[in-house]
Amino acid sequence: MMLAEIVSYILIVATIVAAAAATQVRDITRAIVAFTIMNIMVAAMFYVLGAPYIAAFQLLVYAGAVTVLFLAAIHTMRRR
Amino acid sequence: MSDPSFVVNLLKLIVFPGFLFMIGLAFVYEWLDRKFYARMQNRIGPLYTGPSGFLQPFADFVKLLAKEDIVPQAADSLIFSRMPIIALTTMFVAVTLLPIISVYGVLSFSGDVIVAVALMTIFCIVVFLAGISSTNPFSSVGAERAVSQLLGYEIPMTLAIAGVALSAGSLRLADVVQAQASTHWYIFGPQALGFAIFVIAVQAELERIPFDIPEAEQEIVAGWLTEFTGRKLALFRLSRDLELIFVSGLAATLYLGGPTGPVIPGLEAVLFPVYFVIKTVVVLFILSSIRTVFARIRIDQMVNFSWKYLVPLSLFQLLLVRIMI
Repeated sequence: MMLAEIVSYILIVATIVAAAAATQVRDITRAIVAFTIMNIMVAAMFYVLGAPYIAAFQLLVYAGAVTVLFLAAIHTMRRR
Repeated sequence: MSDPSFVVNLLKLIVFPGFLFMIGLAFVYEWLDRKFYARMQNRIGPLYTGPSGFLQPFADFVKLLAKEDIVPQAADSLIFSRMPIIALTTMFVAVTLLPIISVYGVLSFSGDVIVAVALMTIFCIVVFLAGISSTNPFSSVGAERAVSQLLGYEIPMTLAIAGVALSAGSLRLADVVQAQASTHWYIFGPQALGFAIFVIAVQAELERIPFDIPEAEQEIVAGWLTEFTGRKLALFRLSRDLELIFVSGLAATLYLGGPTGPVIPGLEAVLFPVYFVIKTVVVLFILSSIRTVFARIRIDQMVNFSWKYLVPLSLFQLLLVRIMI
């Protein structure tokens, strides 16, 4: 029980830090990396909380597909 | 911490069906692939290092480890230096999902089929970031092509896997294997179409010849890999080989019955890895033949082909599976 609590606290802190980084970092590629890390952390949190299917789909849809869409979008727009 | 099951699990993860075994198998499969590819082209292939050049991939790996490690001045070194490690980690996690010594993989939980697909997508994101962070025009073009290609092949692949999940009635690899052991291999029946779609999509995932658009060496040097040297290149090469095992293992698990087969009771732990290797080598030879037979297509042709033919075919396959079960 103790270990699960420690893990979930670490995940919560990491999620908040990554989410803050995703909004505050100037470089858009790094912001997307932070967003991906946040989504992986959220997926891990769902898994720890006992919802493996939501965790798997969070990983597939948000950490995978949405990130790829963002990355595909940044190469079609002009970089500054 | 000191109970025996912990030690057994750790050994499983690190030594036998885990990391060490997979690294060894990665070099063997690269050798098999190169040798088969060379023989199909009437060349000899690796010859000098070890018997029939068996140790050549390992020698290449050691050689790359000893070479100079260059980070370009303009590169985003924070991302550039981390990406080879993350690529290797992603693939190490992915190979532990494969069932080898029993119907369960080292990591086995409900929903691991989805995680397998997600890890392949994450590997593609790693490829993109590696290419973009090099700030070399060739790398950037390669990286953009890798992502455009992913938008093409990921959906047919996921739909093909969805067909398997539908007939097994589960999103867990262990359940898929057990369902095939109790009925029939999914390649026999309507899933044969799904297997074909999966093999094509996987060829694109591996960036092998008809779809080696992101690293087309005649146009863009080595694509997203251009700026990587020494240790970083070695790690990327190793993760590519692990990915080759992973996708052929996934094809064997989803369509060819995984590691199961006729066994003498008590000898499952010995015979299952043998069946696994035989089945994955068959898939590897299919992948290598495709690589030999075709020529590279353009990126727009690839995405066109995926959306006009592969996606409708995979939807049709899903319908077929739904009707026939």
